[in-house]
Order: sequence, then structure tokens, then C-alpha cells
Amino acid sequence: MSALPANFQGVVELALAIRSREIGAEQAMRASLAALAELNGCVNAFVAHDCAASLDAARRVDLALRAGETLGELAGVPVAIKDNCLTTDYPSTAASQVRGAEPAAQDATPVARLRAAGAIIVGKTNMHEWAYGATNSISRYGPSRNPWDTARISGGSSGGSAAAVAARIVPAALGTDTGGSVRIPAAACGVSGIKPTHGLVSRHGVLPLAWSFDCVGPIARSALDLDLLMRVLAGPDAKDPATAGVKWPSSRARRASTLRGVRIGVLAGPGLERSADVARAFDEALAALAADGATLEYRTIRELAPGFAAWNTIMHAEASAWHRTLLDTAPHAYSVSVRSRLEAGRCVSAVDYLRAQQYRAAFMAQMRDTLGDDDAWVLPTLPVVAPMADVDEIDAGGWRGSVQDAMTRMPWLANFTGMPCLSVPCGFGDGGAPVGLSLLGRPGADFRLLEIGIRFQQLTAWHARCPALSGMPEARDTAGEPT
Amino acid sequence: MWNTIHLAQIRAQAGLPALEATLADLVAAVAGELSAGTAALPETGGCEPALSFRTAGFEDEFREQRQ
Repeated sequence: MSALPANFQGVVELALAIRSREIGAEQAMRASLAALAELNGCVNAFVAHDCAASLDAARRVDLALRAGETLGELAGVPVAIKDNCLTTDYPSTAASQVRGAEPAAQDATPVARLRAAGAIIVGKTNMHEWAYGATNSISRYGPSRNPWDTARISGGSSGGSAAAVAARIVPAALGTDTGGSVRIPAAACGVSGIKPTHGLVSRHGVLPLAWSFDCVGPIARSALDLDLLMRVLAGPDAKDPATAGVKWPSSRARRASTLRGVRIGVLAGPGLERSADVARAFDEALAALAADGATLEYRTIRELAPGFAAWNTIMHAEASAWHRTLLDTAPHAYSVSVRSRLEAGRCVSAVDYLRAQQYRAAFMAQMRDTLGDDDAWVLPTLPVVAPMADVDEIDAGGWRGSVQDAMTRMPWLANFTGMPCLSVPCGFGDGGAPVGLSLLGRPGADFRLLEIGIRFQQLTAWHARCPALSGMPEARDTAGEPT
Repeated sequence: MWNTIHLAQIRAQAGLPALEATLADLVAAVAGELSAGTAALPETGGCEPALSFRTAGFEDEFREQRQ
């Protein structure tokens, strides 16, 4: 049995301990709820939770185990859900004033799969309003904060989910990712997250942002935990046509004892600039991969700038199409920034939308050719560490821009192409803030990325680092912009 | 475009009338950037839109991965 408190254990470890009755599900849940009570005032990660219901669910797991029942792989594991995933027991507001507080009639498919595997939903997590931003600074509940330094942003839009995992409130949380919204906060908060291949995880019951790009992905502390979560989450769902014909391998990711024979392309060049501290941590990660036998070669992708423009055009048009009725009936319930983007998306012509999708096809063909025989590509998840919450613009290796643009500058690539992308912690930058490494692979290679990620975490153990959880100051400002 | 949006947020603190004026400026700025970005896209030689990644050349590869 681990010497760690239950809320410090990872998904795999905790699930095993509960099933073998080394730890009671109630004991694990009490540890999570105690951490939530102690830390949520600092990180503002949860926007809804129900202690009594969570404890009841945990007691039912313990009773079933004592009765000898066979339960799912996640039996008794506390999990948090991003607030844009519909749930029958909590409101699902997408952190927007537009949505009411009524619970949904049906769980989103990923939530239903977690429950079916025995996971207990502790509550809903904070997010950037409608998932339309990468900072988590705009939310009806106020911004979430980074557990490593509450003066820094958590990143977004799944910022509450990443903060909850980093703060050791829960071992896993669900996020969504349209331009990096799982990986951005995962990197900023020093945890692991995966954007699966488009279509691998059902989006039924998840409030959309842009359906060409939207994915649901888990956030946890390790790639090993993500592997288990992905096996629960992935698979066909008749309610999401994007999942048609997709199957997830029945076995777990293999445990590689070496990276010998693994070919990794290192992405570099214009559009991928990074700050000196991020470059330092990233280069050390590359050295660790090479020392374990991986073959590294540098790769350059041409035309990143038009790809970024096309991604933006498609995202704005699709988001505006989905929001058109709400925007007409309740425009003032949106924040200024989200509303302006939605209004602007209405100006995208059908011709421009289709030209962007045409360019996407050509861009993906170029990516396929460039990938060649590489098993994966690596790049920093973010060009900078999580910025301070009061910073507007940042420098990153000669590139200067807004915090929002900096956060999506690298992650958008996986959404535009549908490729899977895993982010794992790879060190620390200025101010002791975490740095993330992204592994990008061909569609369907999620399993392969997790294998490499698991091996990397055996070599480095950055994912096991924990922020100083006691004595965190209360978040100074919990008010977002006026709506 | 996000620099513009941030400045607009600051201006919006002044109240609703200012917010409405800001919004119009902001929408025009963002829409202009989107339009300019699309106009600058390289010609693709008439390839079909990638309405799903499976229609864009990865389909066979994806099927192999699944088997």
C-alpha cells in the first residue's frame, strides 16, 4: 500500500488500492473533499460539487466491494468534469451566464462512460466561457488560478480541470480541446493531458465550440493514468458520427524498457519560437529521449501562418453557427470578448469557410508527407511558462504577442489536422513554473504516444512534482469582466 | 486580434454604451483579421474541403492503425 495520502495517488494506483480494499472508496473521497475544501478558495477550480452525494456514492462502492461484486476499472476514483459536459446531477453552464442551473436530462457520453467504469463525479470544473479562450480569465465564476503560483493563469479553457488535478484535489478530470484547451492548462499547471485523435472519444452531450476540431480528453498526473482513462473513454458512439468505425486497442500501452528504435521528429522553425527558459527545459527533455535510444531529427513545417489563419476562420464560423440563436436572444449574457468573436464569426462567408477547409486538406497532406516514418513529433506545448494574470503581452524568442495568441500558438496544429497530441511535464522555467512537452502523432497513434509518454515519465519523473499546497494565498480577484 | 480584444475589455469597464461602441469596433477588427487571413491562403489546386480528417488523406493510414 502506498504511503501517500489517497488524494496524492494517481488513477491507476488509487483504482487498484480501492479494488483490493487497501483503501476504502469513502476514505479516498474524504481525502479529495478535504483538499477541495482547503484549496478551492485559492485555485477556484471547482464551480459545483456535492459532498454528501459523493460520499454516498463512495460508500456504495465500498459496500459492493465488500459484497464481492465485480466493479469497473475506475471504481471509487474521484473525477472532476469540465463545466461544458452535460451531467444529470450538476448544472452545466460552460462558465457562461447564458446557461441556466438545471441539470441535464442525460449525461454526456464521456461522463456516462466514466460512471459506468465506477468513477465518482466529485463536481464540475471552471473553464473559459464557452471554451472560447485559452487563459481561463473569463468565466462567470471568476478566473481559475495556477496551483504552482496563484498569481499566474491556469491556462484554459479546461483550466479548472488542470488546476484540480495539479492541486491534488482529484487524480483525474475531463477537459475539452478545440485549439489546445486540454494541453494548454495541463502544461501550465504541470500535469499530463491528451487531445485524442478527432473522433476517438464521443462528444455527444458536450457543448460544442467548433465541431471540426472539438475533442474530449482526460487530464491526469501521468501518461500511465491517461492510458487507463482513454481505454474507458474511447470508442464508437452512434450519437457522435465522428466516432464511426473507430476502435480503441483492447490492451494497455506497452511498457517500453527503452526508446531504442523510436524515431522522433523535433519541430522547429518560424511560428514555433519559444522563450529561453522553455527552450532550456525542452532541450533537456530531448537529451533524455536521445540518451534512452530515441533517434531525433529536426523537422520544419512550411506555412504555419496560413494554417493558423485557416484554423481561426473555421473555428469562428462554426462557433457562430452554433451560437446564433443564443446570441440573438441573450447577447448581453455573453462577455465582451466571447460575444465579439461570435459576432465576427458571422462575417465569415461560406466561400471563405470552404477555402479554409480546402487549405486544411492540403495542409494535412503536407503533414502526412512530412511525418514520413517518424513515430512522433515533439515540440514545447507552450512557448512560455504560464504568464502572470496581469500580463497582457509576452515575448517568446523574438515573437511578441498577446497571452491568448501565445497559448494557442503551438497546440492549434493538432486540432487543425485531427492528430492526437499528448502533453507531459518536462521541467520548470522562470519563477518555478512548469514547462510542458508535446508529443504529436499520426491519427490513430494515441496508443503509441502514450507508450512514449509513459517511458519519458519513467526517465524523468517531472510529473511527480507537486506544488506547495499549504499556505497558498487566496485568489485575489474572482471577478471576470463585466458581461 | 487578441490585443484589440483586451483593449476593448478595458474600455468596456466604462459601462454599457461604451461597451456597445467597443463591440462594433471589435467585431469589425476581428472580422477584418479573419478575412485577411483567408484571403492570404495559398491556392490549393482545387482539392476538396477537409470536412473530416478522414477525407484528407489520412483515411487509409487511420484504418491500418485500427486493425
